[in-house]
Amino acid sequence: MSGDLLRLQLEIKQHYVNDSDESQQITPQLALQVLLQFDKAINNALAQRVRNRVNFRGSLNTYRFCDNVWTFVLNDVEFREVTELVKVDKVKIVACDGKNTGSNAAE
Amino acid sequence: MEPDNDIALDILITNVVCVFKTRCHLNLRKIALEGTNVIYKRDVGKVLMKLRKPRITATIWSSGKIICTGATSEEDAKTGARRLARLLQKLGFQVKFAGYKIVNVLAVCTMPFEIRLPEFTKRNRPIASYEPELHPAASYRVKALKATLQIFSTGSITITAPSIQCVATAVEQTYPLIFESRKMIK
Repeated sequence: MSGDLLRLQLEIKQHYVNDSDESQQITPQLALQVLLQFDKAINNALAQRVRNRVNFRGSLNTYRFCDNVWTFVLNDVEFREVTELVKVDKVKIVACDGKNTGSNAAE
Repeated sequence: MEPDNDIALDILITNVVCVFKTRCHLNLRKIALEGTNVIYKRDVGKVLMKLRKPRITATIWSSGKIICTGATSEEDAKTGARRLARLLQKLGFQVKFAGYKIVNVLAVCTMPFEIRLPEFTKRNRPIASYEPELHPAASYRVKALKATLQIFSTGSITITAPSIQCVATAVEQTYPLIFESRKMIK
């Protein structure tokens, strides 16, 4: 389980746990299984099915490299795809090593 | 022609390296996770932290020893080191600013003339060493000052010494010797 996906997974788990508390639909063990499956599926999907290319440019506020995970905070970033342009004030990028994979959590 | 006694040579300091100790154990993992602009090299047990304000790169060991490089003057080096200690203090470590010392100063200087290196080495045989196949500069060591000068034929000189004063003295001492072996303009 790579550190970058952990946060995404924790958010999903929260969602499920809240739901299960309310309506008793899903047990915590099942939630865990779902997360594990999600992990496998997303790694596979990112490796096999994603083909787009996005360029981005901004100014670097902070960087961190610990346990083979890069964490960047950029300011005034422009995400440029062939079709469209997205401008953002602040973006946090959490990336880990992989064969052409990395994960992105933006705010 | 006698060399001028009051030559106005610009000695540019390019790098000042200093060390200090915090005299307390540092948790590198905590610094790596909570500090800004850090790179944790777990295999060698170091954290590299870069400061922007005096542009400084600090290498931090868990024993509390810290080396700061990249400063352009000795005051910059000291403020950078102190700023770094303050950052570590804010992370919760009981740091002290102990044993601060400037270890190395790198400066460059350009002579207004070119230099004949083989002639220079011949004149200063044991102290100067020149191996054109290895490095294009002649290296001249002033043992008393613990300074090393690298003299290039273009007239540029790089000096490394333990303090800025040593750098200045080294240049003063070697200028006459270099002046003797200059290339005359025809």
